Amino acid sequence: MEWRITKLYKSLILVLGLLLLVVGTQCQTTQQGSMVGTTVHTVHTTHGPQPTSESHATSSDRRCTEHGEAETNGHSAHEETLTRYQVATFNFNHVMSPYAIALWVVLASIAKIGFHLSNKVSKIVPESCLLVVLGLIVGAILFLTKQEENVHTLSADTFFLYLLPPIVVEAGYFMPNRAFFDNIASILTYAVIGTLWNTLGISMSLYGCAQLGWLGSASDISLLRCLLFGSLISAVDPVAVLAVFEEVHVNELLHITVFGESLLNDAVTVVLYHMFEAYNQIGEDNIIAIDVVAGCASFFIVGLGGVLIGVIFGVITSFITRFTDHVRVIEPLFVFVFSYLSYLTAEMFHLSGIMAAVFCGITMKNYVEANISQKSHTTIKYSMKMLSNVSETVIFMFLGLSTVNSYHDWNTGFVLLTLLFCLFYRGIGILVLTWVLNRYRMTKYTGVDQFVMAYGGLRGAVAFSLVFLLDERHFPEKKAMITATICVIYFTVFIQGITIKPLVNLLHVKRSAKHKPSMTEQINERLIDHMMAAIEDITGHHGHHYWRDRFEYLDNHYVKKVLVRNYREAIQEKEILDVHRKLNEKDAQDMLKRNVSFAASLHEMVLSGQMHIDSVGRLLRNETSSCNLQENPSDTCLDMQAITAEYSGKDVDDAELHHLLQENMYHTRKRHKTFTGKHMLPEDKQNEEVFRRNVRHHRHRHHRHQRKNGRNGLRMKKSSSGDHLMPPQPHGRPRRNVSWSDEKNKALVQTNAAPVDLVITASADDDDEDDDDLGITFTAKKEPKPYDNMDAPRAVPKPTVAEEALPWRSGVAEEALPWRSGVVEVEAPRAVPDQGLFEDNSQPCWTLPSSPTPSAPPSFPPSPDQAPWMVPEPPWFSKQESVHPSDRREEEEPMLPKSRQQQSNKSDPEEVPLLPHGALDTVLPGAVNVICDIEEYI
Amino acid sequence: MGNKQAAFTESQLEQYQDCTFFTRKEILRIFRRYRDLDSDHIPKSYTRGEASRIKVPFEYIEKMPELKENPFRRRICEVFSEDGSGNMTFDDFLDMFSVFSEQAPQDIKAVYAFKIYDADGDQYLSKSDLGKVLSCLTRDELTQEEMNTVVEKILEEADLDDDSQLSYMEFEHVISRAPDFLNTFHIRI
Repeated sequence: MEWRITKLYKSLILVLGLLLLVVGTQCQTTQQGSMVGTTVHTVHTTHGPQPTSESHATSSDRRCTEHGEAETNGHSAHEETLTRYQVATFNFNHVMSPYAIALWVVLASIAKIGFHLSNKVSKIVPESCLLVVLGLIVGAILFLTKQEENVHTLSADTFFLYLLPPIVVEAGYFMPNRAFFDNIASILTYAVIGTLWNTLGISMSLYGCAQLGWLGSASDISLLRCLLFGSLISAVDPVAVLAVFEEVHVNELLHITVFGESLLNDAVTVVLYHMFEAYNQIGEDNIIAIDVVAGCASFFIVGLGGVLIGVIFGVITSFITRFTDHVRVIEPLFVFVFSYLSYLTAEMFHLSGIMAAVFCGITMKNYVEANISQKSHTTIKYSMKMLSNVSETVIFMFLGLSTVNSYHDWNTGFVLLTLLFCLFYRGIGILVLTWVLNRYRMTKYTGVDQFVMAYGGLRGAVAFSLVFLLDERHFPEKKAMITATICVIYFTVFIQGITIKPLVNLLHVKRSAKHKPSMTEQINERLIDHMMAAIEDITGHHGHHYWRDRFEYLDNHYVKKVLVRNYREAIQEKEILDVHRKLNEKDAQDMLKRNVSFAASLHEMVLSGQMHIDSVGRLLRNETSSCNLQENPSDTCLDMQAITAEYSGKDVDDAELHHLLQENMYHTRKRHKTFTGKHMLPEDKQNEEVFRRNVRHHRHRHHRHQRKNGRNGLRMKKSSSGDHLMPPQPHGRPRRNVSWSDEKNKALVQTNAAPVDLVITASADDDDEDDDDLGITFTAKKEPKPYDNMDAPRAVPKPTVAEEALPWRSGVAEEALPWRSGVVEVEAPRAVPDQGLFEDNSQPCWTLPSSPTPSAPPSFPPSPDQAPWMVPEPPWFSKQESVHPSDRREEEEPMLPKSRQQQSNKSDPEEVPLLPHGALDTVLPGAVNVICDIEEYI
Repeated sequence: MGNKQAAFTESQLEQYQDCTFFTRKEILRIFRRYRDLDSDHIPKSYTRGEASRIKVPFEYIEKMPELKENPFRRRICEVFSEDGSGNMTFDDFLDMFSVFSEQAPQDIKAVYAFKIYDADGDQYLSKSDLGKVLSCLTRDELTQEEMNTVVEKILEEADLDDDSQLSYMEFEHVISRAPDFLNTFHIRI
């Protein structure tokens, strides 16, 4: 508790300090602004009404930051005077504009951190409110200290050209497509008819009240001006809705309805606003029928035009990303720039920029994601979120800041009536429209839903910017309108924003279920989609499913051919496998979460190359042994018994490690190889691997494995009752009984060990795309072993119990032979070249970090003629020394894992792989992989 | 209502009304839909017990251009035709609509969904049933191994009694948890 409070104080101090800093900056800017006013004014390109010098500086600043620094250099050229050369100079003006912007962003972001440090506040009050309050405070300070005209306002240009697009683009790009299009009819109804209704209702009522003289000084307002005001005040604001609804996790239907409405009603707002503005300029008396008709026509032009521009830009982006496979770095850029361009283009034609950006995002998303690399995808995701978050923060701060000025005209009647009408018509509109919609909808909006929808109709910065854009010559009531707008915004953002969360709790609104992707659900959903489409076809009913099916058909057969690089791959039904992958990742995460120490140790291992054998082993045992034990007892599950029968040693751990490895490692999916060979860069690995970890699967395999080993298994059974580590020995040779706890340096030495072939497979060998992303894959294989090849020991190499318990042979090629030999395939990862693998003789210069004397040179190079069971090797002897003359193996170069190295010591069964260390070490690269992967996806 | 010629007798209509969730008007509309399937062979009048005799052969339905891509066309016809052959009588057709109608309770919908899965008709979804559905859904793109993994995963999620097959109860349990099963399994006439 203590530390938290101190932390809070610290952050508060930090915020305050920054506040002061910014205030100082502002003061300085204003002073200098007046001194070198020309400098500032040369930058002015905006032409909003009521230009305060600061607001212009801001908007131009944004442009500077967007377009690079070149512009600012030019401006500072003005202030050259004849001075001697100076060693050090201070030229704040040179950097003033971007500097101020950067400071603002920093301040806003730090404020955000501060809010989230105090749990209590951020739980009750939405972030947006806090930011507005902060803006208010800063504004008040500026207002009190400076002349009012120097106070910042949120200029409409800044808002519409720089602050709004990131939010809209993000909204479009991450729009849940399916939910959106499933409910598009309802969303459009609310967005178009609802907004129209609101506009008309509010403005007519206001006009009526004006006629009655209730509006005080604004009573002589004309109908057209009322309509204009109504059009800007009636639109639900996407920024505010997003900010509030993101914190109130309502169910998806509700969310998409309100949010979709707030996005799509932009078209209506734009049309109405421009229409009434134009009418106002034409003058009430001069309006002829053709103007009205044109106004109605412009609805379609603006809305559909925006959509069209968005789709065009989306298609262009998709097409371009098709060819970016050699310049992955700039992939995210295309997404950002083209979305932005679509917005700007639409704005240029006075179409709905929001619609354009949203539809651009929706269009491009599927195709772009099929083209770009995983890393680009992550980049896009985080950059977009970050940009939109910053924009949102700045918008709310400016909203607060802009409030504090003297440009107000408090008109109680006007304010209160506006507020009342806003709430009233919103409620009525929702009720009526929902009543109509519910007659056609399959999922009805419940009463509670309707309430939340009505209540969630927040107004925000869009209305604010629009009202500032009004021309005072045509709108004498501008000040009153600004005040009323601000009041409505504050009421909705504060009162509704704060209370919506408790209300949602109180009314038991269905929350968004924490979505756990379930394989069954996924499959069922697909099945039902197909099925409903089929049934609609059969019945000749062209409904929802029919169109979706048609669209999918067209998409798969024509559009994707053009826009997606790996067309064949893209049209495959990947969702199911995606879900599978996600589930597996989640399993792995859960495992890591459950075993925090495991995760920690993995990290430690990753970092230091060291590992803690004990803890890892224990953890893994927890993970896997439970399922091992459930094996059907009636079967000859000797391994099982062996495991359960208290090996209590490392071999159990190792066995489980191997199981875990086997199940956890990436298996490259075969079918991808055929399609992606050429085009994929190594960074794309994550896309193509299926992360398999399936306990049942594992059980299954294990089971099978035991049955295959029936012969040896039986023998094991006999012996397993007493001495598990000492299976019967056919030649009566004395066996070394190795106890792990006693000689921890010594590996398990098995006198009559099976010849184990170790195959180090560099993954790059198999397919060139396999690269450092790939982990180690263990597959244990049996290899048909020529019996008579074995000259030295007539001793039939018997499996030790430990070996029996180990899953060497539980792999793919199980069916080969019951001969007790394993081939262990290790895909040596390039990324972790010095991680020890099996310390058999095939591994040169791989160190064993975990052994007590890790750096010691190999002290026991096994002599070639040494009988395998005599090898008193310590586990860390390294490769070079252990090269066995009789080894018929090819060149091995673990550092250049290009060639598949198959080391087969068929002639004499040599050293048994030293299981525990090898196993543990091999877990490393895999673990790295797992962790990286998880981090990627969290 | 549209039809000049009476397609059904009064008693027939009443019977249909009793057996399905439809009003008389809707039944006639469905009948028109049914006739659209194959207007050459389906008589306009069904007054003499044609309802269970005249069938639209499965091949005919399968040939519909929209259905070419659909992996489940056969299965659907089979499930909804009474004799399992895939040929649809009007009664079958009406049944189908009835199942998908708004008024049909979730149980009935779930039963039919289950039937779609249950290819061998043994009232249990075995691994092979699930495998078949899966290969339909994925257009046989999965390897056997992948398929097994997915099937295992499904069983892991849904198989409550660990008999490595899904009974109807288990299936319904899963289905009812999915939030919009009722909403999607639905057709408007």
